[in-house]
Amino acid sequence: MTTCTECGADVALHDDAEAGEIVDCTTCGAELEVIDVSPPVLEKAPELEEDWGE
Amino acid sequence: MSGFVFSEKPISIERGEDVHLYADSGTEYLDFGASYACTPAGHCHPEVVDAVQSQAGELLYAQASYGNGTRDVLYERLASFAPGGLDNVWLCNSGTEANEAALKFARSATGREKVVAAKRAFHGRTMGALAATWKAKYKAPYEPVMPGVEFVDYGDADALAEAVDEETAAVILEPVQGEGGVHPAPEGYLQAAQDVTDDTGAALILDEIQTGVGRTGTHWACQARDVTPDILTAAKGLASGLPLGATVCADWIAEGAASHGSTFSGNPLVAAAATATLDVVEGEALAENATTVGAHLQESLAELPVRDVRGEGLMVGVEVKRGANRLLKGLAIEHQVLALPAGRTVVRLLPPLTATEAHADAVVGALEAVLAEVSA
Repeated sequence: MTTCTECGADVALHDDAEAGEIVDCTTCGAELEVIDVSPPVLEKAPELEEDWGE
Repeated sequence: MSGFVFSEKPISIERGEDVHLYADSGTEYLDFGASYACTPAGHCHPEVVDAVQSQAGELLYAQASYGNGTRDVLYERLASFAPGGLDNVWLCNSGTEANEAALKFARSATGREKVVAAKRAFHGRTMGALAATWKAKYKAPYEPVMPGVEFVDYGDADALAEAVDEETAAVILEPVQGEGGVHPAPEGYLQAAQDVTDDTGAALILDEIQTGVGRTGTHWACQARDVTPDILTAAKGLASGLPLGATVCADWIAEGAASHGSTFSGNPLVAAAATATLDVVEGEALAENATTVGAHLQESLAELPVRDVRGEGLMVGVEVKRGANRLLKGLAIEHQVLALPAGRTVVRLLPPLTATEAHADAVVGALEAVLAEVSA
């Protein structure tokens, strides 16, 4: 368990989480990047450079 | 001058046929996003094209406040396609407008302001629908949006019951959350929403913009749960990609709706396309095909090294450990498969409902290959 950098709420990571993964804060919806897993460190995820979504 | 807002991609689409799109280069793409889920009958289904061409020769548009036979046919067709008891139809041009109208009608019919929506929800980008959309990235640059919206955890019936009270005008929910990551409503959740709105006099709005028109295996996803909302909203696949939204209401909502309007409401060209689309979806049993092919697709995807596979019918989400974006690029560029994201970690598959198991197998093979390429 770690905390959201945007709202401070608890954020749970998967047991097999890896650096570079993107997780959503379930409290505020912020998109967070896993920087490290031991101990867990999150940062606000960067915007996509090339968006293949909408 | 050039367009903006949409991200530019190095593919220019010029033609479509059934599940395929064709670029100006002649390259064939398998469209497993159905172009934002807008082509349930496939691209350019001959019956839809015939209906549009025929209508175009008669009347493209006349002032919407006058009657029109083509629009009347669609009203009847939509009422017969919708869950029982919902036979009051408001037509507009998009999903967000359908939800905007739903929120307005709920407020005027109840005389209340408060709206309860779900975390992870996506209901559109106009100021009311945007207010009921959860993610800050969609809203923050445009604040203030419509006030009075409270968010609860999706799927938590107790939290919903606690949030809804005699001040609540509406509860708005997606039967399967789409943009939020493809999350089907858990067993009993929509029934609980119907119960609490019935008890408090609030309106239950079900946003079926993505789930509707057969995508999840029934005409509307709420029918599989035996829930009939007070307001059902539809768009996307309704007119095979032509711009159409619908807000389908129970009598008490329609009777309480205040002034509302739209210049292009139910214009005959789009209405003709919609009636033909609904005829094809029903006549070719495409909802049933969605169930069959969707089950096969989910079963095959579950064999891949991914976090989760979930969905209903041909609305399927594949949650991956690393970002979905580069998988989508790999699918498109290397394997000529077009799909969509649902958030940053979910690949969303929403093919035309005409897709076959062979198409599904091709997509699973392509996804397996890009997953291997990304982890290599």
